[in-house]
Amino acid sequence: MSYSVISSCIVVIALALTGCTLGWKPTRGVQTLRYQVPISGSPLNVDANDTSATKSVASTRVSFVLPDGWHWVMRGDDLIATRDGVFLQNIHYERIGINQVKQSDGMFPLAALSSKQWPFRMVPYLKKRLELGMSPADAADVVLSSRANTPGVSDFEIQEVVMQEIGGYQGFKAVYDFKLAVYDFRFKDRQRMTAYKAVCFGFMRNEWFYGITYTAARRYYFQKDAGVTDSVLQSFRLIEK
Amino acid sequence: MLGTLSPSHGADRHHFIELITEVFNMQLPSICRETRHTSRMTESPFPMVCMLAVLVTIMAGCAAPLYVTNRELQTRKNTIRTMGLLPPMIMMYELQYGDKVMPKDEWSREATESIRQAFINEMAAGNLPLIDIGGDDQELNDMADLYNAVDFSIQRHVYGEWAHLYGEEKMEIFPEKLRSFDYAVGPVSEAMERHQVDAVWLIKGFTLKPTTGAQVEEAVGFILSMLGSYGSGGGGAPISKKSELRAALVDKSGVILFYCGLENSDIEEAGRNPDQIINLMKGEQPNPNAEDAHTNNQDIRNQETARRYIRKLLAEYRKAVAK
Repeated sequence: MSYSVISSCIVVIALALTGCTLGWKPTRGVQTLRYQVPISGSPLNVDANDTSATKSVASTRVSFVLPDGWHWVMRGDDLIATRDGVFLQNIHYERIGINQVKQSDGMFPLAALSSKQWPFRMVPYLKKRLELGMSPADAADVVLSSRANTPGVSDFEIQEVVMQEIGGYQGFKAVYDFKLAVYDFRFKDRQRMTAYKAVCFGFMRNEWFYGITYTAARRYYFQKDAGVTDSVLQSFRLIEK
Repeated sequence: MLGTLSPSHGADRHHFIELITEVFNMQLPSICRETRHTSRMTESPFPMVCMLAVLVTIMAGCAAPLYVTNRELQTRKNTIRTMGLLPPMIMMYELQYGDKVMPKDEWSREATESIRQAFINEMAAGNLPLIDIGGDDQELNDMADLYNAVDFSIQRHVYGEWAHLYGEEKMEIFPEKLRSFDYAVGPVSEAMERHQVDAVWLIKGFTLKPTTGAQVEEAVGFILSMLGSYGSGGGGAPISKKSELRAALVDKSGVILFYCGLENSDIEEAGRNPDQIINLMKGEQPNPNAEDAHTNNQDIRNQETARRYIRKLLAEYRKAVAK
């Protein structure tokens, strides 16, 4: 068989295998996110003389256990997990540096495309900046204002904000409702708004915000998977070394 | 496997043809070289057969099912006597030069009415009791709002929709969802009892009606891709489907018992109906509506097109419940 045919076969098979590995993966036991390097820059027109960006350090690694039967994918440095689809329910792990101005979609922006459409990205829609030593209440304010500021989100309503310990760190728990148009990206028509409920847990540690958010359609799906929030939170750990 | 696999599904078939064309484009120069120097390739078709086998195997894995069913369908089908129809959600768009898509509200209303009427007529023709439920029931509207997100998820994770357009084959498929289709929209028994139905149909769809500029662009793009000089060409145009109809049957528990996705190529397969062919052979004048639908079966506003979609949908449903 000629080399060209063999090489073509190899290319086709390799492409197919790449497709299988870049997409959603089934959850298996403990998941560890490697440390995250800060993306340099100055959000919200930070004073150019402010040298805090140059002092930035990498985030801490985190570990947690995702529920069985779910799927996960990395969207840049964020981890997104879902059982039925991101617009039905998702768990979103994010780490945001205080000077971060961008949130990457990763090297393959079209891989697992639905995860690129949803859930929330915090950094592009920040109205206030995260700051070193910020109190949990202030951090919650920054996060929630960004959520409410996200395009396509309407009827955003905060139900509850309470202080809560997360993995041994003082943080917050915020519950909020909102509506979102789930649309086919080809057409971007926003005919029907689906109602959602979310629970966000977050805390500041050095120069990083660590967040875990469970979001689900308010009808049926939120209650169906509500139990996973506790188990995921229980398993959440920062790996300091 | 609860869903049926249809390797003739239009988008995949289209993609398959593109892929084959591309491979041949890629292979032809080397075949010519082989022929000139050694003639090995002309002696045996074996290498090309191997190549095609690999492609067919991969494409078979990517083939989308026409319908999928929840395992409960077989036990609950006998309890479904009267079905309800919620207002269909059919959108029409004008596809302009440069793949710009413009929503057309008036056309959408016409298409919605065509589908609604076709559904009522075909159900009546099949002696299937149907209640046309309006859009005033809040609980059913909430369910329809959620269905929007469920429909999106089914397309991504069961059908792998759009994946072939961007070379991300299978990246979004959740294999266990194909093995055991279990999407739901939450219990709606009270609302269904209010309307005296045992299950409701939710129907969504769209038509992209290309302008002359878009048609010219598509034709030029096709010719260039056939000549093998149109970039990578692997994914073809970003928007390849011209119309689509998706429908779900939901029972009182909110479980989606049956889900079907059809596109224009699925109703093209039948071509002209046999009556028309016989009439043409007899020398009779063709039915203008049917002829129009034959040549313009991408426009869901066309009553004949709407009827074909609904007829195909109900035929698939009958197949599913007959298992």
